[in-house]
Amino acid sequence: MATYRLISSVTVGSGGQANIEFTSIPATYTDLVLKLSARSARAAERDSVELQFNNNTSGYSGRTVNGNGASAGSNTCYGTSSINRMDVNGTTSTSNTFSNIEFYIPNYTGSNYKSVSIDSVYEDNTTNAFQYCIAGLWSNTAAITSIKLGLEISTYTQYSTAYLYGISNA
Amino acid sequence: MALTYDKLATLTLSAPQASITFNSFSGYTDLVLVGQAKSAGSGRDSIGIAVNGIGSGIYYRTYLEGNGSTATSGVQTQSIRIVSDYIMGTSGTADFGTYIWNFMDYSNTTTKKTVLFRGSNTQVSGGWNASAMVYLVDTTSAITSLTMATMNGPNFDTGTSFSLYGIKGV
Repeated sequence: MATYRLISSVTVGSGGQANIEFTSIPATYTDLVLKLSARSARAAERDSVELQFNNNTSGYSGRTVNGNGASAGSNTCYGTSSINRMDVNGTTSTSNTFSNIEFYIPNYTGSNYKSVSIDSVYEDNTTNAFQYCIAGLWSNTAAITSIKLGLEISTYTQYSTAYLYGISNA
Repeated sequence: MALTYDKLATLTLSAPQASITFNSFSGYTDLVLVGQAKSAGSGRDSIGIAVNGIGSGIYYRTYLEGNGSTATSGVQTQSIRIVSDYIMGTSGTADFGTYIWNFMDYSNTTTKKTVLFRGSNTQVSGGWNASAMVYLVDTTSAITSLTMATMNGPNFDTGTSFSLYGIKGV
């Protein structure tokens, strides 16, 4: 089996989409890599991606180190219902500009808590830009079988895409 | 079609072990090392990587780290090995964190070596949880071995895993 293989992809069509979900994720890989290019229909500068596993709404935490072009900072994710803080462009940001986010999920079928390494960039071609390096955790020992990417406020716009890859060390 | 992203080596510890060495990885352009680790000692620790068995004197890093409230950045010259941010000890929960190193053009015998690192561990209290680092390995020798060990001396704990992947540029 190829080491780095596309499992599934989503491209948001006209009319938008509330969530991007991957279900029935095969347990035959070692790690997962999820690449998201996204824009929100929120009538504001930004929206925020919310990551959940297995339709579970609890047990999440995260810490960030981030920069905005002027200063660096560090934050925690909001609450415990998702891993969040990943900004995506809203409708008042520069047109045709999408944010990029990469999620690396090692040992997603293992019996330890699920750690997630996230790199998130938001660019607006103005004075606003945000980069987040996020350490995420789902304090659950279940194997990951589904992934849900929601938005805090609105819906994904057309042409948002997500690609889920499996990496095998077998 | 030749594989572009190839698994080269992997090890998951079934018992505590002092160090892990990967070698014999010629024929690729870049290396990606993915680790999930805990120390068998009670306190927090860090992962140190020695290139070609060299324990000190050739490693220089610039780092950006956050703990959920404070961000810090700095440089370290001639550090001892390629050092990650913190890993948990046995007093912690089942969170092994996620640690990813990218070794660029590792076999080039003209240039010095650049390593990019991302660390994610939300559970380490009193330490850095999300980090991004760049390393200069001050040698024009090709990298032929990587030895991972804890910085403070205890063994890696059971369940610690490292996987090495090779990426072909041609």
